[in-house]
Amino acid sequence: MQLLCVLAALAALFLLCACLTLRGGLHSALAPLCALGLVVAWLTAAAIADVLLPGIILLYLACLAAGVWALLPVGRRQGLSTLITPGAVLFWGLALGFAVYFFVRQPMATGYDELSLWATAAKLTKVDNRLYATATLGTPWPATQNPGLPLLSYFFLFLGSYADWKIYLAYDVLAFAVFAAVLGGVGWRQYRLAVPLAAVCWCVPYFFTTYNHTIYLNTVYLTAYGDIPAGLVLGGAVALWLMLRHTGGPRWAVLPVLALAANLKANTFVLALVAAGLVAVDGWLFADARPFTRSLVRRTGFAAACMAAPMTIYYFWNVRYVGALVAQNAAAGGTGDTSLPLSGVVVNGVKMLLGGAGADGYEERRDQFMTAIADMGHQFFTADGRMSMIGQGLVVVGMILLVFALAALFAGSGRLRARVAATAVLSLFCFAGYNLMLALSYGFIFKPSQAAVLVDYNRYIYSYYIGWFLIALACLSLALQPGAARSPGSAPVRPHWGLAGQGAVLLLAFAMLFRLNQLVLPQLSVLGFSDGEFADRRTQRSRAALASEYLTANDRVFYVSQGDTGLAWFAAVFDFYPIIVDYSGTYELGGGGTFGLPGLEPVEEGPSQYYYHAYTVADFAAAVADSGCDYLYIDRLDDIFVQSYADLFTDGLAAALAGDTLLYQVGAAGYAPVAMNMQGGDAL
Amino acid sequence: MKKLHALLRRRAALPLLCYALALAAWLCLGAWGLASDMLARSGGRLCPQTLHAADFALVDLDLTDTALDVETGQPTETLVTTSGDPQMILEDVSAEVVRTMRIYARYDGAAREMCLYYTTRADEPYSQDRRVFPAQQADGSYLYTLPRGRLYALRLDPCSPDEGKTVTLTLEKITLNADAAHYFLPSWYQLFCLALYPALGAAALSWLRAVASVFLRA
Repeated sequence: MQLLCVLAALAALFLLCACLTLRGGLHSALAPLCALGLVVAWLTAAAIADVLLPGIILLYLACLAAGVWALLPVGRRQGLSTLITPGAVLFWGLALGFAVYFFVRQPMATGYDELSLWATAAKLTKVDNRLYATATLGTPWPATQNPGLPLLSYFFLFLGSYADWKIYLAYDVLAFAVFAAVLGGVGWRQYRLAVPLAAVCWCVPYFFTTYNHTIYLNTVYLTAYGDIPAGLVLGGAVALWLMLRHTGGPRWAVLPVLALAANLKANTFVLALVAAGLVAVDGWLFADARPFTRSLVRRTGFAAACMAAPMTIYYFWNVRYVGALVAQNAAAGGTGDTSLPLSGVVVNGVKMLLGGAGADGYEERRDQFMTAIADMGHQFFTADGRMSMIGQGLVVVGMILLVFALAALFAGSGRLRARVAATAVLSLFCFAGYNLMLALSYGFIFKPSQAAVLVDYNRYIYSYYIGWFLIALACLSLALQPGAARSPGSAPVRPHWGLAGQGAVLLLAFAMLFRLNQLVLPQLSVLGFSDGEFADRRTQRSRAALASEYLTANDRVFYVSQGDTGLAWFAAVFDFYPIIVDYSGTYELGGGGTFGLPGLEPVEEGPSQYYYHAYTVADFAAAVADSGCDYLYIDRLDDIFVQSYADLFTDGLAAALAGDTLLYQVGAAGYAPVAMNMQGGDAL
Repeated sequence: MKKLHALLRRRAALPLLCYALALAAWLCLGAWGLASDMLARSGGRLCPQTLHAADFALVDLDLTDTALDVETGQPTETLVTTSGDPQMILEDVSAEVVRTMRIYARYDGAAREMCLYYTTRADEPYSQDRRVFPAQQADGSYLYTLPRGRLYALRLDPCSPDEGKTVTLTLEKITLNADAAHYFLPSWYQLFCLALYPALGAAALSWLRAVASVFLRA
C-alpha cells in the first residue's frame, strides 16, 4: 500500500510533467525540475495561507486534470515520443527504481539535524496537514527553516501513512530532476555523451562530500539534510536555463526553480541569488537576436523576474512569516530572535575588512571574525582541509575551472564561448562572495566555540562546490550538443572537437566512478546498507510506540535519558508526536541531557559531563510540576539519576530498573510506575 | 560479415550488445560459482555444518549456561557480553569452503550492529573493508552471505551492546553452508552496476569506433 501511494505521487508528477512538455513545450528532461519547483511554490503559498490540506488536494486534482488535458487528445502519438528522451528516462527510471528500493529496504532517519529539524518537520506537516512551524512542540524555539524540502516531502507523504523513506525519496527525486536538467537536450543519438554525463551526475553528491575511505554508512542519497539539495538546485537552476535556451520552451520555467532554490535553507538563500544572477546576466547580456538593443526591455524584465523569484520567497517567508512567528514566540516567553541583524553584520564586517572599526557589539567580535577568515583560508589552501575526493578547496576550484575551460574550448562558436566564460567568471566572483558570507557568519552569528572549530564548514562550502560543478558540467554538456536554432551561439559542434569533448566527459565519468569505488564500499552506501544500520532507531521507535499505547493524545511527557546529547530527546519528540515531549527541564538549568544533584557531576569527559544539568531534588520536582507533564518517560537511567531522585518515585525506580516499565505517572504522592506489558519485542 | 557490420552500425546495436554481454557474463559467473560449489561439495570441502559456542574462540562473551530447549529438543546456550565488542572467532577455515553463515539466536537487550569479518590470508588483520552484514530472515535468524574466494578466518560480532549495557544471547545454533547461495540473483548494488556499466561500456565503444573512423578516414 505504501508503495502504491508513492507511485500515485510519482504518477501525479508525471502527469504534470507531461502537460508541461506536450502543452507547454518544455523539454521532457527539464519538465521534472520545473514541475517540482511548481509543486513546492504552490504548497508554500498554501502553507503560508494555512490552507495546506485543501491546497494539496487541489494540487493532486490539478495534476490529474493537466495530465488528462495533455495526454487524452487523439492524434498525439507523435507528441508522446517527446516525453521519452535520455534525461527524462534517467529521471523516471531512477525515481521509480528508488521508490521500489526504499520501499523494500525501509531506511530510517537517524542524523542529528534530521531528528531536530528536517525529518521531524516533514512528519509534523504530514500528521497535522499544517506547516510544522505552527505545530505545538516542547521546544522553546520556533522552527523557522524554509519549508521547501519538508513540503516536497509532504507531497510524497500525503497519500498513505508516514514513513521516513518517503522523505529520502523526495530528496532523491529532486536530485534526479537536476541530473535530467544537466543532460537537457541530449538526444538518443548522443548516448555516448548522455551516459557518461549521467554517471558524472550520480557521482557528484559523493564527490564533494566524501573525503576519506568510509568505514561507516555514507548517507549520500540517504539523508534529509538540506545542504546537498541546496547545491544541487543551484546547479540545476542554471543548467535548466542553459538547456532551456538550447531546446526552446517557455522561459518562465526557470522561475519556479529559482524560487525553489531560495526555499531550501535560510543560510543558502544566497545560492539562489547566485543562480538568479547567472541566469539573469546570461539572458540579458547574450540576446537571442542582434542587435543588442532588440528586445532589451523584454530581456530586462526577464532579468528582473529572475531576481524577483527568490526575493519573493525571501519576503513572504523569511521576512513576513518568520518575522511574525518569532515575534509571537518571544511574546509567548520563548527565545525569540537572538542573532545580530544581518544588515549590521554585513556593513560592520566589510568595514573591518577595509581596515575600519566596527560598531559596538561588533568590534568585540573582531578577533573571532579575523580568526575565522584565517582558518577558512587554511582549510581552502592546505591539505588539512580535504573538502572532496580529490583534496582541498583549491584543487576543487581548479577542477571546476578546468571543466569550464573544456566547455569553452569545445564550444561551437565564439558567442557560446563568451557565455561560458561569463558564467565561469561570475560564478568565481560569487564564490568569493559566498566565502565572505561564511566568514561573516562565523565572525558574528556563530557562538565563539562554534567559530573556533569552523563548525559544519564542510557542509556549507560543499553546497557551493556541488552547484558550481554542475553549472560547469551543464556548460560542457551544452557545448557538446548539436546546435539548435533557438540556442544562440551553439552552432554545430566541430566533429573532431565534439569527439574530443565526449572523450573528456567519458574520462571524467570513469575517473569519478573509480574514485567513488575506491572510497565508498557498496555495503556502506545507499545501494547496500545493512538492515542493522537502523537497529538503534528501530528500538527507540518501538519503545516510544509501546509507551504511547499507555498515553492519550493530550498527554505531555517529561523525558529522561541520562547521557543524552540531545539526539535521543529529539528522537523522542519525533517518535511520540502528536503526544508532546516536553523540553524536560527549565531554560535556566537546561534540559535534554543528564539530570543529577549538584556535586554528582561526572569527572570523566563525555556527554554526561558536557550536558550535565545540576538540579536539586526540589528543582527537579518543580521542573516536572511546572512543565505540566502527566508522565515521565524513562528512556535511560544511570546511577546518578537513581541516587539523586529515587525518592521522588513511589517505588524508588525499582520498576524501571527491573525493565518492567518505561512510564511513571505524575501524582501528588510522587511518580508512580505504570504497569506495562514489556513483551514488546524490540522494546526489550 | 557485411550484414554484421551493418547491424553494428545501427544506433541501438552497441548498447544492446553490451547489455547482452553483461548478462552473459553475469550468467557465466553464476554458473562458474554453481559449478565450483558443486565441485567443492563433492570433494567434501563445502558441506552444511551446525556449530555451537564451544566451536568458536569467544572474546568478551561468557558462556553461562547450556540447556535443552523443551520445544525443539535442541541444546541452547546462554552467552553474556562483557564489553561493547564481543566476538566469536573461527580461527582457520582455510581447509573448507564457507558461503553462508546463519545465526539462530534471541537477544535480551538491544543487539545493535552485528557483522561478520573475514580474512583471506593467515597474516591478514581484520579490516572494516572485509566484513559483511546480515539480512534478517522471516524466522528471526540472521543470514550472512560471504564473498566468493579464499577465506582464512571468520570473526562474528554477534552484537554491539550500548555503552555500559549487557546483552544476553540465547544461542540455538549457528549453521554454515546450510542455505542455498544465490548464484544468479544480483544484489541491489550489482543490479545498479548491471544497469550502469554496460551503458557506459557502450558509450566508450561507440566513442572509440568514432575516433577510429576519423583516423581511418584521415
